[in-house]
Amino acid sequence: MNGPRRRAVTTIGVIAILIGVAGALMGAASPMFEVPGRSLFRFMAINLFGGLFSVAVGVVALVAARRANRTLLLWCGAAFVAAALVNLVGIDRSFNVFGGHASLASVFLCFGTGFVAIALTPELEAGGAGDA
Amino acid sequence: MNVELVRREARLEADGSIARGGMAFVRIVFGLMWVANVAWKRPPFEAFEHFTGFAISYPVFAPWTFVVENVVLPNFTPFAWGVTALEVVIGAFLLVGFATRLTAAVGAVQTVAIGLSVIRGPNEWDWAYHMMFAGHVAIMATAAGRAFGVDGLLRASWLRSSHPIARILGRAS
Repeated sequence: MNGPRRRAVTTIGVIAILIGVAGALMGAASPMFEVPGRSLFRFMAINLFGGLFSVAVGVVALVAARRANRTLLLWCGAAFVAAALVNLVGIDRSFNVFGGHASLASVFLCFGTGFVAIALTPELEAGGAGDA
Repeated sequence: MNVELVRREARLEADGSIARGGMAFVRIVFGLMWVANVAWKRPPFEAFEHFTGFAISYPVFAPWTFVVENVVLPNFTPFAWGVTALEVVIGAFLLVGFATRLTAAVGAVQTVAIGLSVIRGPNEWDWAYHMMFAGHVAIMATAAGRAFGVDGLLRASWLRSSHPIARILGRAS
């Protein structure tokens, strides 16, 4: 994983961790799987579990970037995409363990898309020729 | 008059650091706009249906009013889920700068659809929708995802790949 990709993954991972920490702190006094969770920035609902999930996956993504492990990064992206789907189809439903609405789905999808795209796209070889 | 000099000084600063930072900022703000405004779309979508009904009570374009009255409102639940999912994706992709040109084009079309419904509604400021459309056009025209976005990071690989999805992403970015 080259420098720019590593920086991109680190940036997305740090943002995921920061949002997770904020969500976890906000939801710390509430039930872990509260539906809907508390509102971050007045529009993005997230509960304690959702915050801890975002922190955990963000940390794993940082490890993946440091170790240039694209497979691990792909798993992080898949986790965020799966969480996004749960938040979208589970708006106000009890099985939505993240406590979010469509806003959290969009933010998790943002993280997941970034990780998946970077993990799945081969790097260019020196000289500009890319492997298919 | 030195025509070459005039042309050189009149060229757009599309690739300078200020321009790149500026367009990334616009792209991220528009992404956040979609993320924030998808939050209130919650089943059973009563508020969403209320605003969609403005296309009938405050008509803007008669064919659009016809479509809303005869197609959208009678099938509102699947329509609402579809629009919510679409706006989730638009917000996510603009935020991270993925397939940005295509996403901004879709956002512009969605802006027109929203405007055709609500622009003449009570307490609406119609310039908001004009600016929303113009912003998406600017993001699309400048390929803003190439500045501090996934498109900029991966486009070279996509364009040199023979994989069909990669080639589509190369064009969409």
